[in-house]
Amino acid sequence: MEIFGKPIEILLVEDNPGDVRLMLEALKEGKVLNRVSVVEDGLEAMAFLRQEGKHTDAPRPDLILLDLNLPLMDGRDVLAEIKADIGFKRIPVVILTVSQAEEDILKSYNLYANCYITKPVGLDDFVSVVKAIENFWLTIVKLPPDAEE
Amino acid sequence: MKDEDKTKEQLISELVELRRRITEPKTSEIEHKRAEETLRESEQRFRELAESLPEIIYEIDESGNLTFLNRVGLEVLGCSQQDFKQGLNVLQLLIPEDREKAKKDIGRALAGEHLGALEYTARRKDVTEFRVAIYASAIIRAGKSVGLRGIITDITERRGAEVLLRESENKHRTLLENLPQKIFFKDKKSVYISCNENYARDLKIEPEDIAGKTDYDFYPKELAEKYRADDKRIMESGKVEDIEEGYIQDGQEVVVHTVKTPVEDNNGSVIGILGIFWDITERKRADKALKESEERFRQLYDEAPIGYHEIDREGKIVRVNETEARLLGYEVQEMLGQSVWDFITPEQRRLARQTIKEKIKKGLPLAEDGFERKYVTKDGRPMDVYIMDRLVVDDQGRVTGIRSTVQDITQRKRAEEALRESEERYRSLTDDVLDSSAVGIFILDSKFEVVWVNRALERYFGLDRKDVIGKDKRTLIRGRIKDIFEDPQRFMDKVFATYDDNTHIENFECHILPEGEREERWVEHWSQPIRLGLYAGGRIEHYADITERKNAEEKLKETMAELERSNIELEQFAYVASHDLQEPLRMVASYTQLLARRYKGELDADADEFISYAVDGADRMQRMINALLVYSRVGTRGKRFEPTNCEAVLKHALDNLQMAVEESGAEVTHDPLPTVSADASQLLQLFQNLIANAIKFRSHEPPRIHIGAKRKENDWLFSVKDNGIGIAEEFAERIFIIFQRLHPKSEYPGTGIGLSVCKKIVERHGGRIWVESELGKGATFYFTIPIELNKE
Repeated sequence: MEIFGKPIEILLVEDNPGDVRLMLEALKEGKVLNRVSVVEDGLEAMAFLRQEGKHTDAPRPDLILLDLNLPLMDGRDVLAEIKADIGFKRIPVVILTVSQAEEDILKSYNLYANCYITKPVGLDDFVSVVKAIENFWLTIVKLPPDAEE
Repeated sequence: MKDEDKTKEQLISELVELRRRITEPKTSEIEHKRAEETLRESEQRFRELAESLPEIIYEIDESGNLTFLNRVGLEVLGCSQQDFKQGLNVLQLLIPEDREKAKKDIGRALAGEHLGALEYTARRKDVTEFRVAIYASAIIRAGKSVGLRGIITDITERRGAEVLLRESENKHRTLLENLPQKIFFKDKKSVYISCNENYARDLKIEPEDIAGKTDYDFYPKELAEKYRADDKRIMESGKVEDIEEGYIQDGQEVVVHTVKTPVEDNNGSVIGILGIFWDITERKRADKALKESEERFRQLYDEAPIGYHEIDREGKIVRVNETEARLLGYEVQEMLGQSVWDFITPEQRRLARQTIKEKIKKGLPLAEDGFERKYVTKDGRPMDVYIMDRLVVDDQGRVTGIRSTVQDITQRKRAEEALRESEERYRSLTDDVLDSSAVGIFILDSKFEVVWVNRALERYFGLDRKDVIGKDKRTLIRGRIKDIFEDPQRFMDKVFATYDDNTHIENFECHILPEGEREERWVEHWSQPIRLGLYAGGRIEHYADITERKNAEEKLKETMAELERSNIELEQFAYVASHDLQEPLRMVASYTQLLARRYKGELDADADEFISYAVDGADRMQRMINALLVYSRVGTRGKRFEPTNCEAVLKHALDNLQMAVEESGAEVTHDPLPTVSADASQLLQLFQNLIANAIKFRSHEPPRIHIGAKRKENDWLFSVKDNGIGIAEEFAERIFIIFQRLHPKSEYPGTGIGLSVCKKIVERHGGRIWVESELGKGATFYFTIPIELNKE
């Protein structure tokens, strides 16, 4: 995986523009060169992944940040489809949500979410969480090679 | 009489001779002629003789048919010549009873026997009877009897005189001999001359043997001397004496009455003594018995358990027994001669006198049913008596007075009064009380027949008591009753079971369906056996109208369901709200913080202050939302109750609080803690909150906390006691309300959710939580957890 050459592709699936902006702000402060694509609902997320419609030129994401509560297609369904798709299942999916409900956590891991993070309320916490994600997933972890069997 | 018989015999033999001569055959012609002459003469003589005699002359053949009867015969026997010519048998002239004997006698006479006079009773043609003596001789022809002839004499008169004389003699002799009295005759020296048979029998001798004997021969010396002394005295005085004295008869001493009469000769000088005596032992005994019996009756009269009196026509008491006198407190003597109505209360006196006088005047009624009167005793006490009158009537049918029985019925009256009261009480109990009861009642006897039902039951069941009283309850149930219920089979099963085994209390609810006058109703059947009294073995059944309760229950159930639903909704709402509120809250918090971070010091001081308040507000709101979330989760996210060891839970809580405990220097002690049925994680939260609280609100001293547990009835009573700042009593309840705080946040930070969560947890476990405290003296939090496994 080329880290230094081209930027890391991140797909943020989030319908709340405030969270989107917050995420973008936090990632701005990050060390890793990244490019964030944002989609606001699950259907669009899948279209993005499958390069359908207006997303024909969409890049294949290296990391997916997925909110659970989404319009049109729920985050859980999106997760299930990604993990069921041989082409996408190796893409790490970080669930980023406000829900602290055990059932959501359990269900997410059962659907092979790579990790589950509750959105922190305070800005500082949020920033540190995003940094931790960046640090862990984009620098420490060895990710699988691009879309090849 | 013998002479007369002889004459007759001679006459008859003469007649026979004459007849013989007439009928005897003659051998020679001359002789024949002469004989014929003689015969005619003889016949003439016989006929003349026969007809002229005042006696009845007859002849009969061997069969008893009359071949001759003289004129006297015809007359005496009341027969005509005509009758004779038509043929008469001698037996026809006798009464039937004599005919058999006559036949035999005829036979004997034909055989040649001389029978003399034979007495028969003859019967005339007009059936009058008379006695006859019949003489008969055989008529011999050629040496053979061919008939009889003879004389019949009317002996009625002669026989009468004879019989009378003989009977008179016999009568006297028999009388004398059969007299029950003993009779003897002694001479001047008291030597027996004669006696009757009866006396002789006593002396065991023949009457003729008594002559020459004296009393010494028959009696003990003393008795003999006494008899002789009596004889002497009587003969000397010449006066008849009646003596009662002892006498020995068959070795038994008996009492006899003796009449001794001096016997005088024609010159008036005493020549002996005639004694007649008879046994009076029985009479003496009867006299004694009579006397005793009279005494008994007198006693019976006087001491009868009932009063008796008799009044005359004037109403004066002529006889009164002891009982009545005693009853009224008088002596018998005091009452005799008094008017009977003087013993009756003044109120009834007039009526009593009138009634008595009328009764005597009318002579009616002879006897009647009794009636009640009020008497007065000597000491003035009124006394209820029951009187039965009977008129006394003499031989001429005249009423001479009234005989009455008098019975003290004070007790009876009192008992009647008590009974009436008792009946009234029971009537009132049934009619006024039970009948007005709103509970329907059946009373059944031991055969489960209906004894009584009250009005409420009539209304509830739509029955009329006159259709059910006396009827078999089972039949009634099978008939009409079962169908008034929503579930007839269930009703029958349950009630019949109580009749099959009438020992227990049954209690169930049933639903009466409306029909016509009958209203829809829920009733509670409650029945039990009757164990004592008239209806022991029976059963009493109540039907309480529980329609309202049932409706209320129904309503309550609905309300409860509603409440539960709204509670769940509320919890859901709280959860969802707090959950969904997080999102915008995060926005507010994050961006105010971003503002603060990027622009602090770049704007003016006011802006910095404003931003800091916004940040603080967002922060507080976040905590509160989180707290709300926790609170709502107690209800919505609770787990099943499982046996939970409180020791382990406490240890876990203390582990969680380790930092706080160490920092505060708290000393935590505890009793042995039980295992309870609970949601372990909530129990952990409960302990943790309370202990944290105790540490948090500590005084200047290091906290000392004790966790206790003891059984109290059906609960475990837990306590968490501290030595902290305590709580003023007036706030003891407020502290359990969500977000209620007693202290400024600057002193004791926190959301004010802890105790309300505790309360919610305890309540979810079916317990109660409260605090006992005084300001500055520490606090003890108590909570209970039921011992029995609770449903969630």
